[in-house]
Amino acid sequence: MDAPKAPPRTIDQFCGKVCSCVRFSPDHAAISAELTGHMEEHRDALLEANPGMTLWDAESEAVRGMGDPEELGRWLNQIHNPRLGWFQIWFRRVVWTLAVLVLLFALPRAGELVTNLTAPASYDGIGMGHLLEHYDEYDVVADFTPGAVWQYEGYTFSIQRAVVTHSETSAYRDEALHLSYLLKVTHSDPWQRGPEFREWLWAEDDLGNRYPSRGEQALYQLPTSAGDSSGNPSAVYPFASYYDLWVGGIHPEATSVTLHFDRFGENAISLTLPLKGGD
Amino acid sequence: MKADKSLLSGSATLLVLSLLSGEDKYGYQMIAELEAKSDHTFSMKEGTLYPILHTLEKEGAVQSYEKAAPTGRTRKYYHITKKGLRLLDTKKEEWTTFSQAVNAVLAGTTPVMA
Repeated sequence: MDAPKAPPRTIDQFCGKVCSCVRFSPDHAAISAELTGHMEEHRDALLEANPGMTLWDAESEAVRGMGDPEELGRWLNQIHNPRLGWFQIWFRRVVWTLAVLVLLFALPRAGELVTNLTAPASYDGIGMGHLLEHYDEYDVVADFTPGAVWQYEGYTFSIQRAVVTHSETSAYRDEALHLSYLLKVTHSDPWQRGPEFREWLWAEDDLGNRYPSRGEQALYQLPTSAGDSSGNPSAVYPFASYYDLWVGGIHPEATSVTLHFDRFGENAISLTLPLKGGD
Repeated sequence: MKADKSLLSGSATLLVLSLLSGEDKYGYQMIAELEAKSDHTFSMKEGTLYPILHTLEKEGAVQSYEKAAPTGRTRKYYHITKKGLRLLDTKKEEWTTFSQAVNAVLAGTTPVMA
């Protein structure tokens, strides 16, 4: 038996009949809202033009003016494709879920990211860290922070801490001084990064003894028994780098050490550090 | 699936696009203006307007947005896009050609093609 075809009398009935023919249910609310708005506008216009008309009659006429709701519903059903509609809904859900997951994973690492961009205020490194941890076991000759700051082609160099220790026996010579120092290099260009000091910063003392860098030792087959200038892995950040360096096997009678970096053809850096402390 | 071609063929799409070419309008406003401008010659079933509008929106010829009316009621306005304006020009040319042909047949002469 066919369903009864009684014409709708109210706006709600009309919208219900239209939406019953539209398969894509998520669009029902928007379709109903638009059709309801239209019929209410029409009803109000009728009431304004015909002051004697009842609300019921005006609404019935507005509903009749829309035509056959099922025919309209079938037309709308052809346009509101459920396959495309559901695909769009699930695509949005997947994108939102992924975005939330990315945020959940990224937020705990936000602090690390900021630190990587700005670099920590201080850094001890492996060598200096070990020295400070076993500070009492060493014969510390000097522990100081040179106040001078050096600049070269956009780089700013400063020594955060320098510790000179004395030992009666060492891997280099029987009696020697050992300079451990933390060098900080800042620069405004994140692409510039810090120079390779660990490999190429060499030193000489005021007595004329030369302490080759690690790169020089490998490149020129230099012996390290008379001392060397090298370091532990650096901490490199976009705008600043920390170098945990040392000059080992320094002649015990030396009073100062000058650090040199001339790998790129000129004496870009020449820093002199007193081995008894001070500037 | 495309909307019923018989519904969208003819002059209905041309009339809707033409109504929107001046300013953005909502559904009932378009119906009322169509009846007033045509002196009630075009008095289609009002529901027919919405499959036309929804199809044009799906094709990118119009865009819809909601705006509150002074009465507090939320109205859904339609805005004709550049694509819609190009479609309107095409529809106008088709209509001109068609009406010239019809007039020529009625007058018993050979139509002058544009």
